[in-house]
Amino acid sequence: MNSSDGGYHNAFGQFASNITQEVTTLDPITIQLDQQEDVGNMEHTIGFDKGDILIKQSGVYLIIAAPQVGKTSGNRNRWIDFWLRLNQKDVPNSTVRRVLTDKGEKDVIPLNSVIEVNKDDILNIMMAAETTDEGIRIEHIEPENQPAIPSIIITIVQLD
Amino acid sequence: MNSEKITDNESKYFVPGSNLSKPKVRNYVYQELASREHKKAFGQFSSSVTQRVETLDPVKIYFDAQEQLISGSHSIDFDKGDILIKQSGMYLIIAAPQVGKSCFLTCGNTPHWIDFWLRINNNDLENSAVRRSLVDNFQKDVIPINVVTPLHAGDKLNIMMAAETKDEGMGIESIEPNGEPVIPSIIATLIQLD
Repeated sequence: MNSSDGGYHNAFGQFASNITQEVTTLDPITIQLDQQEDVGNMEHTIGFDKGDILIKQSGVYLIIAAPQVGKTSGNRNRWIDFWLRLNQKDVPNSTVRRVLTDKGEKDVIPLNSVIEVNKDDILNIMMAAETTDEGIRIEHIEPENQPAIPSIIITIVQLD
Repeated sequence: MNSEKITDNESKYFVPGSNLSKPKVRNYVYQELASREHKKAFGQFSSSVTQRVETLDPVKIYFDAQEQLISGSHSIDFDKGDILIKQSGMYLIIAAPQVGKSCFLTCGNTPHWIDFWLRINNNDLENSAVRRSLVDNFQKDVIPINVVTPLHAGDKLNIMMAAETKDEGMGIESIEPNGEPVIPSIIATLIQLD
């Protein structure tokens, strides 16, 4: 499963959150994470600390993020945006938008990006919404007799 | 008038060998690929069959097509709804079900959810589930699942779905637009990472 030197050659990671995170300010918000993939006895090749994804190996990475969006009230069209931030700087051409009308809407919005990162870089997934008054959020859902649905799932794969 | 068709097959699930497409490959690509050895496993699986939820229990999604290989053998296999792992490793799995519902005028205005997640050797994989809600039969969407997980040779991977109701024809849809390629009801890609 791993290369001959006892470690993985290319870095990879899956991160998720079991926390519903609501937009309570009109400023951009860093999405918080609390789950990482199982690598058995091996060491994770990418770390995380709350909302910070911590790069340990320099390289070009494929990043896919899939936030589970919803809202709690209102019936007007309201947008919610997601994008990447690297070392406190927004990554161009990474932003996606979903418009939500009412509280019955549930969807997953894919964000995908290929970027060059360096060891010790900090990557964040950001979100912002049009209003703070309608409970626009990413939702952790616990269906009966089914696995829980994280509020976001992120996969990161080093390409080179 | 829109005449595109949603393939609601009578025999709802697996149709062996149906709609296997053979993409044309440029000659120089063919020559290069023909001599290449595949060290890491990969695979693309899809279904040309519309699969609707008719029970409140979780349902396994079925496949009927796999990527074309120029040389060698597939490094990941499938048998109906089972994706069969042949090489141990860490894998990136991306699945994109094409969701919709079939009820017309009988849907009401209440949104109902449909969920998707991964199952490995009959055990649900945590942090793999996603949800989309649908109001009527005009809504069409693709819901992305993305996961990194260890898989071992001999493991069996399934993509599961479940819906809030079995009365509205919720499910995944294969669509045949006029003058465009067929839209599979699901496309799943697996890539071994290391």
